[in-house]
Amino acid sequence: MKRPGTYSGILSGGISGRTGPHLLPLARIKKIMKKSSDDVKMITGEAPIVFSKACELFIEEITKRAWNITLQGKRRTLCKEDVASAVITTDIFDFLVNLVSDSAKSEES
Amino acid sequence: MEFGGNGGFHGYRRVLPQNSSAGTKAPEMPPQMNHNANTIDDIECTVREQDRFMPIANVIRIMRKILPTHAKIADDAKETIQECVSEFIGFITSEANDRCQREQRKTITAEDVLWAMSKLGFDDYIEPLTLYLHRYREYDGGERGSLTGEPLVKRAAADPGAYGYMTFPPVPFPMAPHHGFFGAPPMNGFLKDPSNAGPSQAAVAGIDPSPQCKEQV
Repeated sequence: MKRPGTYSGILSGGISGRTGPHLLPLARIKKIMKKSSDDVKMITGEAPIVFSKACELFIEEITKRAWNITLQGKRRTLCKEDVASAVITTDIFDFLVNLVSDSAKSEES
Repeated sequence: MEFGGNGGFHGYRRVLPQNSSAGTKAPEMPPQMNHNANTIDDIECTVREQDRFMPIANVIRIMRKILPTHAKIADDAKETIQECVSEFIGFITSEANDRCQREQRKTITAEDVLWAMSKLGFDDYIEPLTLYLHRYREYDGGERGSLTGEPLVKRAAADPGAYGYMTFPPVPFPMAPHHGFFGAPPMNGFLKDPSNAGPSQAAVAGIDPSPQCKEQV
């Protein structure tokens, strides 16, 4: 049985890959934040925590939308094209349009 | 193990030990450019790719919460969503960072992140996130105050709809069944909610709505 460690474990990103009570590793989130642009310097400890929950909500939303498309096609396997369709049909996912269409292109090559 | 661009968009090949700290080079090039890399570049790209994405197991776990049991997920779908998450983080962070720079601040705060999400159209997330952050701050403040969790107990007793998963000293309060609020079933002794009770945790926690419950651990 996993016994939760000290609270500081959360802030430092979890224990050896485990995320403590968060679903997503905080250290990884912080790394991705820092790589988003060169001039991201400092981040409060709370920001990755907000992202941890936000990414969960994001994954849930995109999964729901993609699954609806899967169901429309009377299939039971959620595939990449369903994700791409969900992105294209959702305004707030516009920033992902290039990502999903580039994925499609790389598969063809 | 084979390297080389054999069509895998990600490098899950564990070339180096999980030594993410070694990946100190800032990857200037976008992921698409890694496909035809030679061996050495590919090794470096593999390490950086692992750093660039959320662990796929975590992503899948969250997806499975939404999907019916019989649903299957194609591997490429999992990877695509993994990439989308990283893109989402970068997108929001850039906007938050721009705001910090305009206001001549050096540190991105949780409020900046929330503001950026609202600005970029993710209004629906703001309320659950604000609540999440609020709960985190409550219990974080209590935790830092005492290892025995004494302030937490007092606070939790007054707060019925509490967000208990963040606290380590087991505290007797019911867990609000908010959708997707926590990914995994709580491990701590939330005995007031019988569906979540674990007998072993109960023994450890000794949960009891009486003053002695503050002496756990």
